[in-house]
Amino acid sequence: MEELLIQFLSNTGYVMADYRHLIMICVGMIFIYLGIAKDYEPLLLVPIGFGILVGNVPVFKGLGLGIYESNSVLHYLYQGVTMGIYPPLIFLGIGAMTDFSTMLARPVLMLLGAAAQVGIFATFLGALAFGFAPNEAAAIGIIGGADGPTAIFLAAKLAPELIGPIAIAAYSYMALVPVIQPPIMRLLTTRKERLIKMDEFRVVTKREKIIFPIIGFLLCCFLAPAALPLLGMLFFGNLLKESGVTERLANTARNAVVDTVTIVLGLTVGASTQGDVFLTPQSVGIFVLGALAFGVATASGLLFAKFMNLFLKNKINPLLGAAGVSAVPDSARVVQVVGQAEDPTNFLLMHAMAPNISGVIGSAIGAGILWSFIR
Amino acid sequence: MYGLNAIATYNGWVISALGISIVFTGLIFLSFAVQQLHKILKIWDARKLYIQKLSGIKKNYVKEEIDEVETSIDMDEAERNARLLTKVIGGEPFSLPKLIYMAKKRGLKSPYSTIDRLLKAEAIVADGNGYFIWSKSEKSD
Repeated sequence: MEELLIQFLSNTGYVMADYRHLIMICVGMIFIYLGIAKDYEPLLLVPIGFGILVGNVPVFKGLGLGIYESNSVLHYLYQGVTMGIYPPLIFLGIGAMTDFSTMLARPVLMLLGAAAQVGIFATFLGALAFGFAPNEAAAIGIIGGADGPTAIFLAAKLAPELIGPIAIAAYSYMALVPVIQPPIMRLLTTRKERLIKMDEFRVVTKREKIIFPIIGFLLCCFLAPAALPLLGMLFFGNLLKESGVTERLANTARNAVVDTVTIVLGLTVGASTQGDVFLTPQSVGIFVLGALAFGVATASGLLFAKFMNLFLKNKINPLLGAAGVSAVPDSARVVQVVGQAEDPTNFLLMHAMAPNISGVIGSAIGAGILWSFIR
Repeated sequence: MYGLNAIATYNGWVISALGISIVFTGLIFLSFAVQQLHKILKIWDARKLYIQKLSGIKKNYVKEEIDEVETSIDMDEAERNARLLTKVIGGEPFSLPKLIYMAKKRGLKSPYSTIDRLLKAEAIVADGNGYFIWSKSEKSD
């Protein structure tokens, strides 16, 4: 009996845990705290945070419990991440909940979404310089796209072993957009620029909204076919929304599908951060590069907006450039907050949604390009 | 391998430059297409009007062409008809507006252009007193 008791105790988490598990459990708790108390991306940080707790309960190997054991439930659920199934489903939901009106009304703002993608390629170069292999560097670079599903999708295709750190870095920085972006925005713009008010949008017709996802899909996917899984689903979801005849499907895509996938994705990505696998110098490097990626993406969007102002008759508020990073809709909200800090009557939110949404398209194209170059 | 060496070895510069160019190209294309979309839809909505305008222009064009053919072929006949009309309005010298009015009334084809052509051909000439006369006497058949 004593022997059985000792055997039982030696198989408990209390005995098997080491410092790495404890560190990761602390990280998981910080995520949950940020999600609940600070309201930073709670829909992502709470499932990921809890997933980190799940993944860092030390388990006896061979029982089929850990996410990396081929016969575990978590492993089956994780297949959706490693096989790149969940990200396109999330894009379907994003498409079904996104209104492209602001972008259609002022398409020139789409260029800001393109400019912010400089962050992807700058980080790719940074990762190569840090000593990462090209496939890993490309997967890390996409963190600069500030788009969690795209980052997971590309990491699953190019560097599956790095999905955990890349996803955690991407979602952490996305959640920290309200902290990361404002100092850069204030640094790179003058008060006079931040006070610029934007013109009213023209009214966008229903037909334009219906035709856009078809044209957008064909134009983008003919140019970068590797972006097909993501952009195909994004534009399909949007067509479901705008067509007006598939409201039930659109409703399911933007609610049931996206919610289910977010839960499973968040939980499994979190669970993939087992201390012994996750806490490596590589992960630290990815986090450093991720911060660089967000900074460069924000700065390049802002600077490009200022560059555009050299040629535009009706100047645009350069703060909108910061919304080119595709953290929808957080970066647009940050633009609104920073703009209103200077002038409470300046409403930039809807204007910022244009580069914000085009940033989603741009980062998906960027992911497609990197995948086709590096595979 | 680290640093600039690693970037150069793995074609980092080329991939980055090409990559960002393609992203820009894609979004510029899309932006241009979106910019034109509502204009194209406006044209599509007004397509009947445009078709009508186009067909109207075409009809006029054809008509003018026919007139030209008719007048060039039937200048003699036009002159004969005009001479008959001048008799109706009181003979020579005659008032040009009166001749045109009569030509319209009697259903002469394209009275303005017909008389314009007769003036250009100097079949009708000014008499110096604000009226017009035939330059040659009437041909006898």
